Amino acid sequence: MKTTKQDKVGIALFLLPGVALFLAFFIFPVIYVAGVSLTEWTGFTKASFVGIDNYIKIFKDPVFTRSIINNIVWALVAGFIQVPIAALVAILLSFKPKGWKMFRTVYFFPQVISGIALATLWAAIFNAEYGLLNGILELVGLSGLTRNWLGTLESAFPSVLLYWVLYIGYFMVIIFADVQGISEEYYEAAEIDGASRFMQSLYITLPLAKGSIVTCMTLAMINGIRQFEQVYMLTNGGPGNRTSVMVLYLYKEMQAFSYGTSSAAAVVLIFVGSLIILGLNKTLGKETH
Amino acid sequence: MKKFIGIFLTGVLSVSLLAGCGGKGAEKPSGEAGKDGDTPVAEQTDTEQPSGDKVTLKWPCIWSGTDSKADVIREIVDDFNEEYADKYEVIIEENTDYQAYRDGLRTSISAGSAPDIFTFDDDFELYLASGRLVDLTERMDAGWSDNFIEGALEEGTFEDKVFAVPYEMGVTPIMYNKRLLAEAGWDSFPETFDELWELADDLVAAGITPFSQMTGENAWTSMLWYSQIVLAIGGPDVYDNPEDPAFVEAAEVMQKLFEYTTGDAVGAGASVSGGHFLAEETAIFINGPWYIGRLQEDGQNDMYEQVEISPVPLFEGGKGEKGGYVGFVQAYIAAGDTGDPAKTEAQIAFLEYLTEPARVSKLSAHSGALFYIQSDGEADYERLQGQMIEQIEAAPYIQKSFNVISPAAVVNEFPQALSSLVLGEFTPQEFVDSLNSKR
Amino acid sequence: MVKSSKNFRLISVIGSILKWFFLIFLFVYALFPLIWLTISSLKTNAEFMASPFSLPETWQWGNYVKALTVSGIARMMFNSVVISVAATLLNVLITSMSAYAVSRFEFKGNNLLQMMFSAGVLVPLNALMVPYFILITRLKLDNTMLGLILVYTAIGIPISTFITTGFMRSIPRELEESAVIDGANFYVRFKSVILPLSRTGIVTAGTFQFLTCWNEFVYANLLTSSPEVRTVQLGIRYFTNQFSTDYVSMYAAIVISIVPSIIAYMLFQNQIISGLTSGAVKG
Repeated sequence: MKTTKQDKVGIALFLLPGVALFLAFFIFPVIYVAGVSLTEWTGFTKASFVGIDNYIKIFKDPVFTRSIINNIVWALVAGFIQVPIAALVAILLSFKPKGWKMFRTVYFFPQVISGIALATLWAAIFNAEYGLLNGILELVGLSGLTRNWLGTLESAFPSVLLYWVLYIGYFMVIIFADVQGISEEYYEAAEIDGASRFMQSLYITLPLAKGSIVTCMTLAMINGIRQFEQVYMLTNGGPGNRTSVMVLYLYKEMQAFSYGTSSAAAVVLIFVGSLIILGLNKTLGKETH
Repeated sequence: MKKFIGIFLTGVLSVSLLAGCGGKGAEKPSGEAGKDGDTPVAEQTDTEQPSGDKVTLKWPCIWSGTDSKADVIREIVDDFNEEYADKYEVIIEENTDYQAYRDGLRTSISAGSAPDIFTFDDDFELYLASGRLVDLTERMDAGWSDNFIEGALEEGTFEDKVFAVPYEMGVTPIMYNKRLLAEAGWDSFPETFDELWELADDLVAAGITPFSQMTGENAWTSMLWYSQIVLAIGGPDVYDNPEDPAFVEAAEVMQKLFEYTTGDAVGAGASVSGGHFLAEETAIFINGPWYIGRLQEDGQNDMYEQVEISPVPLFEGGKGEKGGYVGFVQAYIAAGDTGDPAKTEAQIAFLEYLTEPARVSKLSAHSGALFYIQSDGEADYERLQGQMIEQIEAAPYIQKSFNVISPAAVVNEFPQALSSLVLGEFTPQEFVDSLNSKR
Repeated sequence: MVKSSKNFRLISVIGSILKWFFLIFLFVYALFPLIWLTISSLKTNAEFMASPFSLPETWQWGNYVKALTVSGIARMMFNSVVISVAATLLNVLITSMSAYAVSRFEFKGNNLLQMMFSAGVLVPLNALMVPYFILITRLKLDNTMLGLILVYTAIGIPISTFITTGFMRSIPRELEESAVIDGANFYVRFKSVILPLSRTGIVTAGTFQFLTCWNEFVYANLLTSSPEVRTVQLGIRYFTNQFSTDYVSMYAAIVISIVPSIIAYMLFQNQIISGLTSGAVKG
């Protein structure tokens, strides 16, 4: 389709508000943060230019490198475990089993509950003295597995990460909306050919919903990279910084009156995240469009 | 609509670019702090008007909501507004979430404007040195300083000028549950650490967990234990030398304390570790006067009646003295400098009002908190609060807690280093090194 | 032949059992927090701290009275509704316009623009407190609803554009081309072809945008100060203070605060379903 002159004017007009807001609330602040990342600044006293010292400093800090690794693990688990589960649920619900509307609504509940409530709940579930998880394990005869889930160096990060994975409502909704949009004709044709539901899902639903699944994978991985609230409230990065993530790191640097290193961490985060998105687009995205 | 948005956003953009050119925000003039609070959505007028008009002060106040000081503070502010009805008005902006308050306060100072009236408790030297606080020296010298207990004002002094009022005092004695101690066969609190370990063993034998500890959040109560032990071993001057062996020795003691605590101590937050003490699951705890209300309200089986307090026990061979106390400025109050003399006058007037002994006595009696203000002698103290005052008066010295004398980066790292220490990842020496590496 | 159909039936029975097990497990997993939250909101603080998973001895309805009366949450809910609805409508309008431009047309800089928008999703908003504060105070929009509406509209732009673009891209070109033949110009095509057909995506983006606005705390706290403009998340935090948290009252406030979110979510979702009855889009 040819782009007419009228179209060009329309495109410019349509882009203007979005781009303007984006410049004001993303480009300007990011440039600001990038500028601060080259200074030593307490926020209270004068800033002084230090070049790339802050970047050197944070990369020498094992806590920061561990945070990057934690974020990458988080992104991979979110993209390749959480989203596939969400896709599976969306497809199962698309066949409209009994009560599907209720399922769809309830799956989304965790997304509307404020983070504080979820964090205190899971802290109580993982607790070693009265925790629900240990209680269940003892009930089923696995008392050997009980532990202080958020309080050992080995189990803290997996605990924080894995409980989150099964809250799939967000992605399920996106994929479900997409799956709903698939024309009935496809299924009708498949039905005539005698294809089972499983086959239909595999050969019709999945390929046609691929766009939204890739969208969700991207969003999930970005979530993994930006993860903060749950970690902050559940463990504050502990024990021994095992559950630290990049945003928590930069937040703590800010609290330590070190805006320079905090901003440097923010810049690194954007960079690492962009690499991951680019990588995902290269491997999965290209085929979609 | 579209056109409107376009024009509007162009405005946003040009302003943002201007702001971008302004540098790092460190040298911005601070003049935008005060605005008329009654008309938030409609037009706003700056309060920097010619004198003669009423001066409005905004106070983003943490002592609001369900805080124990909220009621009396509100009363004081109302009285002030009434007394100076034609001159000044103080508006309380409720800030209940403390962490969020701190973030907001720092952000506004970093962006160039300190609030008219505000409280703070961390890295006070940075606040004092920021150059954004009203200089209170002149009024202090003119007699205001008589309101304060001796030596208190030194805490708010920077380069011979008073920039902040030391207001609320934090003291953190050991709290113990005498019913649980009795179950272990003890009718008084140990006077030495050797006895403390005996008590701990007896409590364990009686099926009671001795201590509440925590490494979650900021590891607050365990940090207080560490402070007490460092001082008991190294004496009141220990903070002068971060390489003092007392820090390492105290870390060893922390390891031992964690052998006598609940299974969820690593990773536990304040509500978990405090909850064990309130539920009579642990016998010994550390906290401040503000906790008295919690003991009364949330303690199980009227456990408040069972709670007694004690200074830290003597450490054999340590430099600490019997009865040595941990105390620090829990809240400074300061005023953001706007350069407007009328406003400065209002700010000082309000701060003076807030520090008058009669009002502070009421605040203290009502909330259980202690202050750096001379008592007017009529205060009716609550039982534990009264004991704390007695112990403070008897103390050979009152020294600050570890978090108060440490930079924020060390305070941040403390919970992490502590959990590594008690989980065996760090030796006591490594624990101290890891904290010192953040200095 | 008979045997294989028997096998087939067995497999489908097992599959069905697995399916239901899976769906119900996730159902319980997702529902549990809300139930726990509701029960906890009816305990005393002492009960809550001593045994977080037990039932209360007596149901403390007073917590709800406290949550409603003490914190001024009703007013804050109203503010939140105004701010969230305005910021969602504005955001959805702006982003569907820009998504239309980038997803349906080739022009110079299109790829760069899309990349920038995607990268925008990555920006850690916690790191932007100082620049946002400067921006909003310079605009004299601090402590105004408009200020928050502007911020919320803006921070949702990358993610909404991202979602909407994905949906718009999947609309077949032929539909738009036939509209061109019918003489429809840029704006008409947007309004009568693209908008209706990407309704699902726009509503999905709108749902998330609404929830983002409703649940946002950091900037609501930073940029507002008086009760007339503060939002519901600040009402929830009313019960936390420096030394202690009144958990049970806070939970009551949270339960109150999520009712509108759930209603909004259900409304939006029904929108999607009714939008789909007009015919399938994809293929």
